[in-house]
This record gives sequence, structure tokens and C-alpha cells, in this order.
Amino acid sequence: MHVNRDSRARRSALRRRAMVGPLAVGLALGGTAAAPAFAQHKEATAAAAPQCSAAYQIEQKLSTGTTWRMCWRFESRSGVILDDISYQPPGESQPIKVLNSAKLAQIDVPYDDGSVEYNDVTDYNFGNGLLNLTPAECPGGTIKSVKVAEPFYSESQNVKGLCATTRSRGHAYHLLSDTNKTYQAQGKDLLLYTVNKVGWYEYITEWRFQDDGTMSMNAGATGSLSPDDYDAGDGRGWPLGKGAKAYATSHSHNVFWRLDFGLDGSSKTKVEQYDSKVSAPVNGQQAPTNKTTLTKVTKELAGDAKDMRWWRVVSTAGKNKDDHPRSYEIVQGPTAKYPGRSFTKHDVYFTEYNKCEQYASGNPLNCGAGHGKSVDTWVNGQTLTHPIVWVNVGFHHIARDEDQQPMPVHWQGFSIAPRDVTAMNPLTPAALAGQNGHWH
Amino acid sequence: MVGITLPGTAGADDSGGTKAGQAAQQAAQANGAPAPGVVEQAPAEGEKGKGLDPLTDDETKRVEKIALNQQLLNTGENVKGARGPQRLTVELTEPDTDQPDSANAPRRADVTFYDYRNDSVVTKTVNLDTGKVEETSTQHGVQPPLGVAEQSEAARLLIADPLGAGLKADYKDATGKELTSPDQLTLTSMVFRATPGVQPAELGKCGEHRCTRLFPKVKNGAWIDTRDFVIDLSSRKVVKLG
Repeated sequence: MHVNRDSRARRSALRRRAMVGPLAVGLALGGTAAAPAFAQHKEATAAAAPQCSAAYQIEQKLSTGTTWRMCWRFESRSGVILDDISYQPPGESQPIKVLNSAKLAQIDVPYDDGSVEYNDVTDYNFGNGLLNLTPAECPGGTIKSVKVAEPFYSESQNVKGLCATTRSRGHAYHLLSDTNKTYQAQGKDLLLYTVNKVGWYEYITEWRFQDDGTMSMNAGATGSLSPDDYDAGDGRGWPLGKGAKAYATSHSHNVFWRLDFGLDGSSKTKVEQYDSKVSAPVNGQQAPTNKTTLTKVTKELAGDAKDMRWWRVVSTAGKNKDDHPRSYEIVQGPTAKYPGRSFTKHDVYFTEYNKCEQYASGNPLNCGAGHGKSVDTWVNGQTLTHPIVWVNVGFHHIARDEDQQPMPVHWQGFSIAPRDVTAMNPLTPAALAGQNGHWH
Repeated sequence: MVGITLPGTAGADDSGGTKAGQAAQQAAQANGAPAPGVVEQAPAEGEKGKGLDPLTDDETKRVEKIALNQQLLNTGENVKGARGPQRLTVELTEPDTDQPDSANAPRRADVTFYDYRNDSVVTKTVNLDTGKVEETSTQHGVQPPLGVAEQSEAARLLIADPLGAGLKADYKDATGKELTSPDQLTLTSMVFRATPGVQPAELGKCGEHRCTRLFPKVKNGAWIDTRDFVIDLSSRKVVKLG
């Protein structure tokens, strides 16, 4: 039995939420607009055995009850690659598979004066630059030994290079209930990271797994500015040191990630694009209106981010307990898209799986004669049945005095967030478990 | 499922964990910060790995031997111009996730060589269960990153060349000693490819040829900038850019 006044207040709060933006509108669409035909694969129901031995598994049950599981391995180009990633929030009896694999697929660094362009993954063995970590830089965690056949900066082939730890991230939620009780939870994350040295630069490659199912991929550049890239001239650098004698040359870091989704144990997923269009108020409306439309991405696509546009990858093998198809939304962060190369011109690429297409540019694998070497050339009209997602995040680095010395970490990256993976907030306290949907 | 329990629950988390975790937690409480990470030893590896495990040393040696058949050994040429192709990498073959049962697929390894005889990248895919070469790929005009032996050879060529005078002078300035061997340097490199209009024109073959620029560093010391010099390992020549 609810007190009416409270209910009204709550309903109007829900309505306000529903008007704030594309996320809320998308939620309303989720159940109806996106109902692909379901093939109930058996992988969806049976928890598959992990694809690696215990020594290469990471399994972390966070204190809030969510467990993440995955396998890791090392490759000389991309560095640490994560495979077979699954998420099991409280209340789910089985792990929910999210990704077949996730890895860095390129770091392209062109300098503004056109003097040089580094492809750190495919022209330099980014992975082999793996550095030994000191215990202090993996607080509260475990540093795993990674075997590197030809390490650049380690005496031993067993590089103490992969930190696995946990971290608090502040509020997961806050709610003052009808009865004046405060419900709040402090969110916990599993963090994996490595530091790889590429010449003067060092990159922290961070993989963050939140207890609410969100996963973030970030690359942080630190180390030193290139000591030899100075004095490109006005408009291409920034004066560092006393006066204006030495201009550190500006440059871009165009970082690519390759995600191979395996939602609910199946690689057969669907891609959807949502766009919201705002129109001025008419006929006495109190506010502008906003209409969200779904575009099914059935063929390969080079996508451009814009305001109120987002994409999601939808499972064809599993639904949540509300009977909604599970999906992960691609949540893009800030980017300075670099228009200088054909492969850096778009923010996201969806390509049909081809096992020889592994790096976003300078792909050295043999795809046969005439096959392109970069991700943009792989978008050529194929129907998507097993979409591979490539995310490009650019950062234009105009150095500043504070960049010396060492250079403070500057980050770039993106997230994937669960959308209808669970029927409710995966961290819902028991007392609120009945409050699902238009519940009163 | 056997998993790794991280002592991390003792760090930023507030719940109990392993014994080590509890000790770490106490330490953390003492100084108000999470305890330093626990360094794990390298996992013991058997003869054979499972699924997507990294290749074991045994597997690496075995597939390299299988890939290097008599013909390749006889006709191939390494970075020093000697018999046998230059080994670049031995990596676990990327799993074919398009196959629904990829988790149960046999383990495979890609053994990649550079053959300096005809500037080709040769990759052999070896099935670790059967020991058979399942696929051989030969590519021209493709340049994977350099291996350590190739970087050393590039440095050797630069040191021996008149264009290496600056490198040697900088080394002497930094250390007071003569630079005579690549072993005195920490080396990394970038593949160099010709772009339209590259000068001098003899660098125009880079891309088809295996060319590089080095990033030498005095061991435990200063960087030395040698980016003006391209070393063409295929023709064994050092060329000054521009």
C-alpha cells in the first residue's frame, strides 16, 4: 500500500528522468523496437568451461557480489589480450559471456609537422616493451608474470607486468526511499593494467570491470615527451622551458581497440544505431520534443559519433528475466578525431568477422592479394552476422609546461555498458527487488 | 572453476579475503593505504598448454622445428645473409571465434620468418596436436616489427658505417668509452616505409625491402637520436634521410 502523494512524486520523477535524454528514451524503446528473432543457443544456458588453465584465468568476486572472469595471454604486438570475458552479477546463476576477446589494435602517432608517424603496435612490438611493475604501483593487488620472448626492457623473459587489483569508485547509487531510508552502495571495480614503453613514451593500458557490468578500456600516455621532436615552428608546437626557445612538437595519439563480442556465448549478434532528434515546441507544448529512432545496422559500417547518437550490440542468444534481449551499449568518451588518415576518419567500425583482420591499420596478416590493410577498407558492404567492433579514440597532444617531468598521464578510452543484461540494477538491494518497471 | 583470488579484496575493498589479503589489510590499516601488490612467480608450465594458454617453451621449440623444414632451411637467408630464414615470432594462432566450438579447437601456433633471400614474410601455421603444418603463407611488401637479432644487426651496420660517426661520438661523450658493439646499447626500432617523394630516392625500396630506424639508448643511460638514418637490412646499407 503506497501513500498516494509519494507515488505521484515518484511517478513525476520517473517522467522527468524519461525526458532528460537519449538514454532514458532508449530504455523505453528497448523492449519493443529491438526484438530480433531468437535462436536459443545451448551455449546460452550451459556455462562453458574456461578457455585456459587456472594460471591464466582471472576470477574476481567483488565485495558487492559481482564476479568477472576472463583469460589473459600475451602477444608481441598488442601486448596483453583478454579472452573469454564474462560477468556474473548477484542473482544470476551462471556467468554471462560478454566478449570473445578484447585487445589494443593500433596506436597511431602522427606529429603535426608531418615529420614522422609512429605505428606503435604494428611497426614496433608494443607488447615487447612491457615493463616490470613495482609492488607499490599495484596497490592491494597481484602482479602477474607475463612471458615475453624478446623483452625490450627486462632482463628476464618473465616480466612482472600485469597488475590485477580492485578499487572503489564511489557511489554505485543513492536513493532516499518513501520511508526515509537511505539506500546507497559504494561501487567496486576490478582493474587490470600493464605499462608498455615505446621509446620515450610509456602507455598504461587499463581494463576496468565494474560491479554493475560496465567495462572501460583506457590508454594513458606518460613517460617523457620525445626529446627530439622540438622546434617544428609556430602553430605546430608549444614552448616548454624558459622563454620561447624550444617548442615541443604537437602530435596525435589515435588509439584503436578491437572487440569481438560473444554475448550469451554466441558470436552472432546484431548492431543497432539510435539517433534522437529534437524539435521545437508546437501547439502549446511546454518543451521541445525529442524523437528517438532505431536504425538496424545490417551491413558493415564506418560510423561517426554525434550528439544523441549511440550504438549497441544485441544478443541473439539470450534475454534477461524481463524478456528483453541482452545488449551492450558503446559509450564513447571525448575524442579528437584525426582526419589525416583514411582509417582515423571514423569513430567506430563494424566489420564482418574475418580471422585475418586483427589490427586497425598496417595489418600484417595475410588476407590474400588485393585485400586492404586497414579497417576502413574492410567496410565494403558485407552483411553483418558476426560483427567485430573497432573503436577509434583520438587525443591531440599540445604539450604544456606541466608535461615535464615525468609527463602526467593523459587518458583516452571508452566504455561498454550493459543495457538490459539484467532485468534490474544488478546491485539492487533485496528490499527494492520488487520495484521493477511501472511497479505501483 | 578454479580461479585466482586476488588479495585485492583487502586493498580497496572492505571485505575479507585470503590470509595474505588479511595481512595486507592490516598493513593497509596501519598506514592508511592499500598494501603493495603481491608479486606472483611465473606459473609452472608443463609440456603442453590448454586452450588459449600462452605457448609453453616446449611447444615453441617444437613448432619452430616443424615449421623450419629442410627446404626453407636450405634456401632461406637470415639478416646476416647466412643460411636459413630469420625467425621473427612464434605466437599462438588467434582463435577462430567464428567457429561455434572454437573453445575446443586444437591449439595452433603461427611461426613467422623473414626470408632475406627474396624479401618475403613466411608464416607457417602448425597444429600442435598433430604436429602438421596446416597452412603456409608467403607475403611480399609486408614488414612486421623487427626482432631483437635484426635490431642488433641494424645497429652493427650503423656502427660500422661512416654515417654512424655521430652515434659513436655521442656514446663516447656519454660514457667515455668507444662504441664497438650493439650489446652496449638498449635497442628498439620502428619499421621504415617509403612514402611518395622520399629522399634520397634509394630509400624508395623501403617497404619492399626491410628498413628501419633505431632508437638506441646507452645501457642505463641517455638516448641517442639516430632517426636521420635509415638502415636497409635487405641491401645492408645505411642511408641518411633528406
